[in-house]
Parts: sequence; structure tokens; C-alpha cells
Amino acid sequence: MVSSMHVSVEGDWALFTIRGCGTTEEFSGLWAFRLSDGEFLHRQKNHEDRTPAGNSLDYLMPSAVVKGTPWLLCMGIDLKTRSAVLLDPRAGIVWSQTFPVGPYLKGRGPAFPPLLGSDDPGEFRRLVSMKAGWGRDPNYPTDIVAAPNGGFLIRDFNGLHRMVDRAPRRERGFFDPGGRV
Amino acid sequence: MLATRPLAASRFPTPLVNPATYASPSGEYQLHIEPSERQGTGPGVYTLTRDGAVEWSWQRGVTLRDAIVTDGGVIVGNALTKGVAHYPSPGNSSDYGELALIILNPVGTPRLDNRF
Repeated sequence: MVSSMHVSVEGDWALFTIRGCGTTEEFSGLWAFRLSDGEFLHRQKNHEDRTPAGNSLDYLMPSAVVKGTPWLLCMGIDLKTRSAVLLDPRAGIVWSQTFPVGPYLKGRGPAFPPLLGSDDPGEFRRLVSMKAGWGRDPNYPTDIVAAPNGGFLIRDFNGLHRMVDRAPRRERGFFDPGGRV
Repeated sequence: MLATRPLAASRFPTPLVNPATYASPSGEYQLHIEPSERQGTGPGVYTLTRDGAVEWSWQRGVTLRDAIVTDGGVIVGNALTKGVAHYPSPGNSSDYGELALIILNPVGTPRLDNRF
């Protein structure tokens, strides 16, 4: 059986994310086609492909096209790690950074994720402490999307006060990595 | 006498594919898909409207399970011809049907129809 099928459009990319199990594993992965003419661009297989650091890319989910670049920001996760991945429509993975999952599950994640510079996509900028930014331990960050002003929005699955900005504690789910992304 | 009840099925319940309407981000375009089968395994009737007026309405061989309509009226969607919870018959372990990745032009013609 196929456990999930998801479609999204990011920029000029039509993206199909398939999660199969058993013999349907052959379908699994992220399929990218050019929206404007339907040309096949890339397929990133689950399980088989790995980041340069050797981490598996199970459950790779597209998040956003990085503004001003042709790269697609994705999140990947396996049993031990979470990955932020930049995909090039022609060349596959151009950059990735992995993080242990355990600390996030336990709410002790000190920092997440690396920030990307537009002049040199993939350049490591700095780590942002969600705990410091939110004033609490993150629960289980599951997604990241590019925000219109160049920052990021991070989803904290089942976290308290997701995307809430209120007194007295001004929790913010928004980070601006210096205005250039 | 003890009451009895049937054993619960050990497989996942088969997800249904209901009639669905997908709107473009601007709301200008709306795509309605009417499945012919409860599990989305058969043809579907697709109707694209623009500002409420029907642009086209066609039956296609597959029913999209998930779809997006862009502000230009392009449709992106996928389908599995035997459904997501189909279990192959004994002796034919690879019989999961076809995975269809679809892009339709604003006039309803296929821009992409890849089957795997």
C-alpha cells in the first residue's frame, strides 16, 4: 500500500511526494517536474539516497523555494536524524545539514536549523536558538518555510502557542536571519 | 449468552476519495473532481471553472487524490490506479496498479501524464 501521496507547487516546480511501504517502496521519494512544460527534473529517492554526511533521506518533504535561487529547501527525517536539504533541479542535493532528532523529541533542542545566504546558498550562517527565541523548549519542530521578508517560519508540532505573539511572553515563530535569504 | 462481535480487520481501513473542489490561490479558478469509485480507483469527471464559468469538463481515466490549481489554471495532481490501500492478490505481489503524476494545461489537455 501507499501510505501517503502529496502534491505541491513551488515556483516552477511541480513536486510529488510519495511514501510507500513494502513493495510500493519503489514509488517513494520526491519527484520534481518543471511546471511550465512538464519536463522531468529530478527524483530524490527515499532511503536509497543519502546526504553527503551519510544520513538517510526518508520522508523528504518540500518546504519552499529559496528566494532568489533555483534551489528547493526540503526537510528530511529518518529514525535518528533530521535533515535540512537544498535540492538543485538538475544536480540533486547541493547542500545538507543534519541534526539529531532525539533532543527535539525531548524538547531540549538548542538550535535549529542552519540559515542560508542568497549570495552563496548552502553557506552556513549561524544557528538560531529556538529556545531563546520562543522562551520555551521546542516541542517537535516539523517544518520550515521561507517567509516573504526573507526570514523563516518554523512549525512546532503540537507545541504550545504555535505562531502566537502575545504578552507577557512574546513568543515568536519567526526568525529573520539578518534580512538576506 | 455472551454477545459476540466480528474481529476487527487487521488492515488499514481503505481511505475514501470524496468529491472535492480545489481553488487556485486567487480563487479565480476552481477545479471540481467527481470520482466514479469510492476509493478513487476509477475515472473521474473534472470540471474547471473560472470566475464561476465552466472552462471545460472532461472525464479522465484516473481520479486525482490530491490536486493543486495554480493562478494560471494549471492543474497538478497524482493518482494511484488501484488505490492507496490496495493489497495485491497472492502470487502477484507487485500488482499495486500505476502511480500517475499529472499536470494539465489550463485548457484541460495533458502537459504531463507519467505512469510508473
